[in-house]
Amino acid sequence: MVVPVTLMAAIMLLLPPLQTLAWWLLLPCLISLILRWHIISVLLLLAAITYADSWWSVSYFLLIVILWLMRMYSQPKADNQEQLKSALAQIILTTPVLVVLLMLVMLAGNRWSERSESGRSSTGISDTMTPGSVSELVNDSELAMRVRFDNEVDLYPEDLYWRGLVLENFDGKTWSRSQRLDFDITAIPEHVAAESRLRYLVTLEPTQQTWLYGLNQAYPTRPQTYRDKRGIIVTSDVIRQRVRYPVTSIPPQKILTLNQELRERNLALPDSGNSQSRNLARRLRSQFSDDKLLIDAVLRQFSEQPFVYTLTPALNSEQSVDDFLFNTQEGFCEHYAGAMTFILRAAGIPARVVAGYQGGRFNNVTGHWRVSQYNAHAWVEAWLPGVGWQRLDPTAAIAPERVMSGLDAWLSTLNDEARQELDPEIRLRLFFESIPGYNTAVETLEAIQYGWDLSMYDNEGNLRTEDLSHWLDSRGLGDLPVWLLVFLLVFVGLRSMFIGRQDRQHVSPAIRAYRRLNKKLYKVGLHRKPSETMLSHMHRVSSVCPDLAGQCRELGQLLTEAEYKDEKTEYQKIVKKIVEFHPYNSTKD
Amino acid sequence: MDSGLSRRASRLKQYWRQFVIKRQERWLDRRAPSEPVLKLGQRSIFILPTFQGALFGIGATVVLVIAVAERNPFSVVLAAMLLSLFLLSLVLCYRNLSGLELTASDGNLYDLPNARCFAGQNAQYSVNITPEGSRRSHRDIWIGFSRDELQPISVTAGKDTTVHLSAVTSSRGIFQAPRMLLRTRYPVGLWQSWSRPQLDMRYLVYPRPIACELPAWRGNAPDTSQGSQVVLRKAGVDDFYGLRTYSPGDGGRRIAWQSLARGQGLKTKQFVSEEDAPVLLSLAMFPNHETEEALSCLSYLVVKLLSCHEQKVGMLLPGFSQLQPDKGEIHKHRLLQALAIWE
Repeated sequence: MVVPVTLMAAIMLLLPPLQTLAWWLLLPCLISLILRWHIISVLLLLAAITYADSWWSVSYFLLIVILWLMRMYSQPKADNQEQLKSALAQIILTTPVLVVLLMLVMLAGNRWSERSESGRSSTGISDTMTPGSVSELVNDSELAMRVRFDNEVDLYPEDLYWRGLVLENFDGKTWSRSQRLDFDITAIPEHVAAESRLRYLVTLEPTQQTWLYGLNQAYPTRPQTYRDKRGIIVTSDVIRQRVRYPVTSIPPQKILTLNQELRERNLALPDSGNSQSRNLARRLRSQFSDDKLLIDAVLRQFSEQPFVYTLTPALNSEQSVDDFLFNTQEGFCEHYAGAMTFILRAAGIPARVVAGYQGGRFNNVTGHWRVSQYNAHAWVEAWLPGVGWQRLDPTAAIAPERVMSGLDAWLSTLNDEARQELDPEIRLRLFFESIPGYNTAVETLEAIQYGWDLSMYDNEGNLRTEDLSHWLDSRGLGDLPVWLLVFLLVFVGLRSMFIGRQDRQHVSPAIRAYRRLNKKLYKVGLHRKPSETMLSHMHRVSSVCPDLAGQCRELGQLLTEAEYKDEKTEYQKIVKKIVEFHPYNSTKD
Repeated sequence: MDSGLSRRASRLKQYWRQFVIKRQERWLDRRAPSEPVLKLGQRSIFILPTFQGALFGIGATVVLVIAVAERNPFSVVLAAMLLSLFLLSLVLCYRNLSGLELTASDGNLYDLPNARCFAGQNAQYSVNITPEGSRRSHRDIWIGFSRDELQPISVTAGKDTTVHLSAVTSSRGIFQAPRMLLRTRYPVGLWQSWSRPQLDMRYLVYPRPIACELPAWRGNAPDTSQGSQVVLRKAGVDDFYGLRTYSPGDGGRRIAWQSLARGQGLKTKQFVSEEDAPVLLSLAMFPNHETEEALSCLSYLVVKLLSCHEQKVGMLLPGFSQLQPDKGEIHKHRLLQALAIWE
């Protein structure tokens, strides 16, 4: 049990410059290595490996791995040299395997990234909208984001249109996003009064996408995040973990001009198809020359004709807009938004579909809004001369309670028959919500989660360890963690020594006394040989030193009796005799 | 908590374990039958990761995946290295057992094994372990007959190692050494490879002696016991017989000091003991005992009469040709052997 103390010390010396490397994992790892808690040390090492950020750290980890291999060496009673030899041999032997493995990883990695480009698996809103793409999210009660407003303003769900993406391209079935980005780097207009500015903090769950959500005209504060002129907030990195960003929103500003390219893009329609809808648009256009009146007429049509707002619409054929408007007349928000945009474009009004979330659930405990995946929504924006982009929500015309008080409120207005058609998951959710007290419990839990998230994680979703070290630094205690851990290490080392002492206490007093005697004899070269018993050893000693023969015989007898006889012995006597025993080696002299 | 349910459960568990062990034994018998010389190879070595090994492997894989996902080349290299260490460990662990040649040290040239002991005593086996080639050494191998009594050995390159193993014998007859267990966790305990070779090592186990009196029954005794009681005189210790002149080598106690004092010269006292009549042992001497018990008694009598009383002993066992009364070590073993293998 020879601990490579010098090596440990060397690693300890190396540690301070490596503070940036996950020292809070590495030091416990080393400590558990000393204590031979091998499994824990391995787990900590594995966790720490993900923090490696330079070749220096790689070599440092290599050192720890070698140390680990030495400690784990299975041969009992091997000395450090042998352990080190074996560990180094293993490291060298592993190189070919490592090369093969790395090549495999690289190949797999290539494949991986290729796939992630084309069809990434993402939750929540995607960058295309086909009939059914939003309504399938209604089953999903997972959290999408949490929002906390700074201002004390009364907000209602119908005000909260969380804009995500603007979908401008339409191929007859699918609305998709135009990949062109037109960055808007202007600051918030000065003339907007402070009262009309909304400041809030959004905590977005990982979306695996590259855009963020905000209200109206939103100005986020986040590194590597930009505003598009259409109001999309784009990030340069994929949101892989929970992020938090403050946003300032202002009411939509008047835009008096629409550039030609944008106008064309927002008027474009497939060359053919959906002729009935085109006819309808033409008829409306001839009736109303004013864009606003035309829009009102379209919305009125939705509310007056027997349109049905349903989660389970009949399937549409190729002529999706015609089918929806004139045959089935039932659909979810994406059907209405798509159809309305189609009509407006056909009537010559620039229009686009906006995908995002609508509403949310207010948490009375912390006062934040919880937006779930089932809040996913799609609506329309039309460009009106003199006004700019105007938000239009055909859903509000069909099912106003959906917008006013949320999806669940709308779902609970459904009659039993319609409810039977719902997904079992939604029905279960509705059932739970009808239990008194359930909502309060959920809200409290949600509040705790939100508080935990706010206090433990920074805006980029990382643990607030840096904040802690900043805090310590500001108090001149920057080295405290290291000192604490050094202290811990020393403590553990001492403790392991102490444990070693305790182990010895399990040895019977007779054997301990004998060991003491043996130590004395060792000095004169008469220590016990491996094959000897106590008696035969003493016999040999007496043959070497004849004038001590009597003492030897007596001691041998006493010790043997003390160890093997089931009687109470006075060890003090034996110890005294041993103290008085002065061996010498006559053969040596 | 000693409820009936838990007891029943533990009994069920025991049954299940027995069942599994039996299945395993049968499977092993088919896969690795017993042989006098055995070389460990792919057929007889098994390898599985230990608990910490499995944790290590899974952990390294997970970290590798994370590292790839995070596109952190340093972590990828490190995680891949740990994973390759894990895989390398598999090979090293296997190699640590493979190629070892096990030989039963004292071969059995005859039908019956040379090694003998009484039932209940330990059968001592020695196994010779030879490494393959002259460069490979094997470290940290644990060997034994059962999981609980393993002893560590290492085999240095090019040198034979002899291991002494003992197994408790239970009943008389020919005792086949149980399956050995060779186990290693070399080099760092991530994998455990083991082998269950069975060497063709046998022991002849005599019936366990049970102390008893020689019954008075003399039904089948030879003629010498009935007719002329020829008393053979033989040097013994019982009765004083006379004096004879001293010859070197006579024990000090036997020297007649009185006669020396009387000036009669150095004389040695002579003692004699009357030799007992030869005994013919038979199973029929113990009609009230079960066969095994009777055999045990016979075994005791053989040892007692032959070794302590130096009597002539013969034996008659049903289905066996009669063993004529004789004495001496070889005869004793002949008798005991007959007792051991009698069916």
